[in-house]
Amino acid sequence: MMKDSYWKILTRPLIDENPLTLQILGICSALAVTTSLDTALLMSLVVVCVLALGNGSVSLIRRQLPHSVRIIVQITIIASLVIVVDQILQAYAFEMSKRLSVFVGLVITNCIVLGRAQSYAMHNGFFASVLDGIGNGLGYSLILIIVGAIREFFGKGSLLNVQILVPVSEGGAFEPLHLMLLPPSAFFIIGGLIWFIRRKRPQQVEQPEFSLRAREQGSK
Amino acid sequence: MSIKRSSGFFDGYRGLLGLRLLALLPVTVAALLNTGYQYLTRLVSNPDSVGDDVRSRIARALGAGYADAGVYDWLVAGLAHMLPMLALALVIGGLWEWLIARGRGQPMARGFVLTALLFTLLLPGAAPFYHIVFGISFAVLLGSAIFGGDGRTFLSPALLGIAIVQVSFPNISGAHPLWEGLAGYAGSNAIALFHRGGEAALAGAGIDLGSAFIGSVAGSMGTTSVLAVVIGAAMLLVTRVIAWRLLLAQVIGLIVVATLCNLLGEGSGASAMPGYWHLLLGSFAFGAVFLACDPVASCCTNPGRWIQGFLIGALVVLIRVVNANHPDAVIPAMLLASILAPLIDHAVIASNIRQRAGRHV
Repeated sequence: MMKDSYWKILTRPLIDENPLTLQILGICSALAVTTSLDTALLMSLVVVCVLALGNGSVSLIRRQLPHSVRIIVQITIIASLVIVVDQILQAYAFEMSKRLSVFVGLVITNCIVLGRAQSYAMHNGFFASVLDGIGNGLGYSLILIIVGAIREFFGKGSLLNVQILVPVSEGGAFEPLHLMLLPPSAFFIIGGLIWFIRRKRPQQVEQPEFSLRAREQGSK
Repeated sequence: MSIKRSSGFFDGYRGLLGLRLLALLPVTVAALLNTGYQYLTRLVSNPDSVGDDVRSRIARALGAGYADAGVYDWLVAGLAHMLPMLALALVIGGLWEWLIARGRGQPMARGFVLTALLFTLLLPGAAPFYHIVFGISFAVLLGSAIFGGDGRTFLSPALLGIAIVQVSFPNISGAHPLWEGLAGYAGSNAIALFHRGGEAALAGAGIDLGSAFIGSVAGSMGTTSVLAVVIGAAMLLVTRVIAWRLLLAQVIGLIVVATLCNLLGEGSGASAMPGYWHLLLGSFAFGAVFLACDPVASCCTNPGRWIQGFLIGALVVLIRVVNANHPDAVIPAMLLASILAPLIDHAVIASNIRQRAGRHV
C-alpha cells in the first residue's frame, strides 16, 4: 500500500499531472532551452536536482516555518540551490553552461519549483516530497526532451549534435526548417502535445469558458 | 457590412467566398501571363539554361515557344507553372479539410479553396512543391481548423501560411539559376533594387511606372499587377465585401509615412522611396485588398478600420525602410495588424460605451 502510493507520487506528474502540459507552468524555459537536445537534457537534470533538493529541504523545516515568511524562506532555499548548481555547471561543463546562459539562473523563478514547494512540500513528509520533486522534474524533462529532439532534428537534421540528415548546404537533400530554431515552434509543438495528451486523457480537458449560442429559430 | 440577400452561390458566407474567388480572377489571369512572360523572357536571354523541374518541362512539352513569344505562349507557360502548384495546394488543403470534417462529423468547409488560391498567388514561380505542402497544411490546420473553421479564424489563413513558409525557408535553395531574382519569398526584388540604387537601378532593370502598374515585373506570382488588383478591388467594393474605409486608410497610412520618411530621411537609399513606388512595387496592393481586408479577420467597427488600415500602411513603410532583410514587409505588417484587430475593436467599442454613458450622468 505504502509502496504503491510512493510509486504514484513519482509517476503521476509524468502524464496525468504533468506540470508543463496540464498546469502550463515553466513554459518560458521550455521555449528557450529546447533548440537542441543536449541543452534540453542538461536543463532537465538541473530542474530535477533543484526540485528534489528544494522540496526535501522545505519539507524538513515545514513545521518550524512561520506562515507569514514562508515564501521568502522557500525562495531563499531554492535560490541557494540554483546558485550551487550553476557554480557546479560552470566548473565542470563550462561550454554547456554558457549555452544555457541565463536560464540556469532563471530556474529560481521557474513556477514549478516554487509551486511544488508551496503546494506539496509544505504539507508532506520528507521522502514523499523528494519523490514528488523528482516526479515533477521528470514530467518537465519528458516534455523538454520530446520538444528538444523534434526541434533539433527538423531544425538542424541532427540529434545530440550527431548529424543524421545531410543538409542542402552540404550537398544533401534535407532543407533545415529555420522555423524550428525560433521560439514559436516550441509553442506549436507543446500545443500539439497538449492536444494529443488531452485526446488520450479526456479528463484533462477543461470546461469551455463560453460556448457559441445556437442559432435561434427563424433568424439567419 | 451588409450583403444583398439572394439565393444560391452568392449568399451568406459561401456568397462571400464566391465573390472573393471571382474577384481574384483578374489577378489570377495576370499572374498566369506574367509568370509565363518572366519565364520565357529569361529563356530568350539565356536559352542554354532551360529549367529542369517538372513545371519547366510541362511548359516545353506544351510547346510554349520563346523565340517570339506572344500572349498564347505566356499563358501556356504560366499555366504550366502555376496549375501544378495550385492543384497541389487545393489537394492538400482539401485533404486536411476532409479529414477534419470527418473527425468532427461536420460538413466539409469550403474556405480552403480561397486559402489555396491566395496562398499560391503569393508564392514565387520557383517555389518547391514541399514548401507548398508545408505552408498550406499550416494555413488550413493552424490558420483555420484549430479555431473552428471558416468564419471563425482571427487571421487570414493564407497570410499565416505564407508567413510560416517565409520564416521557415528564408531562401529557396536549389532553385534554378533561371529564376534569379524571382525565387525569394522576401517578396520584391524591385524594392531591394531601389534601396540599393534608387530609380536609376529600377530603370536599369526595365521597371518604370507603367510596367509596375501592369505587372510585367518580377515578383511573387499574383502580386505584381496593380491593374488586376484594382479591378478585383472594384468588384469587392461594389459588392461591399470589403470595407472601403479599411482599404483607403491603408493607402493613406502608406503615403503619409512614406512622405514623412522622404522628408526626414537622408535623401537616398530606403527612406527616399516615394509613396507611389511603395504603392506599386512589392505585394502591398494585393495584400491590402485580399489579405488585410479579409472580412473575418479585420476590424468590424468604422473607427477601428481607420486605425487598423493606417497601422498597416505605416508598418509596411517602416519595415521596408528600417529592415533591409524584409524588402517587401507586407506579410509581417498585415499579420501584426490582424492580431491587433480584436484589441482595436474592443477599445473602440469601450470608448463608445463610455461616451454614451457620459451623456446621461
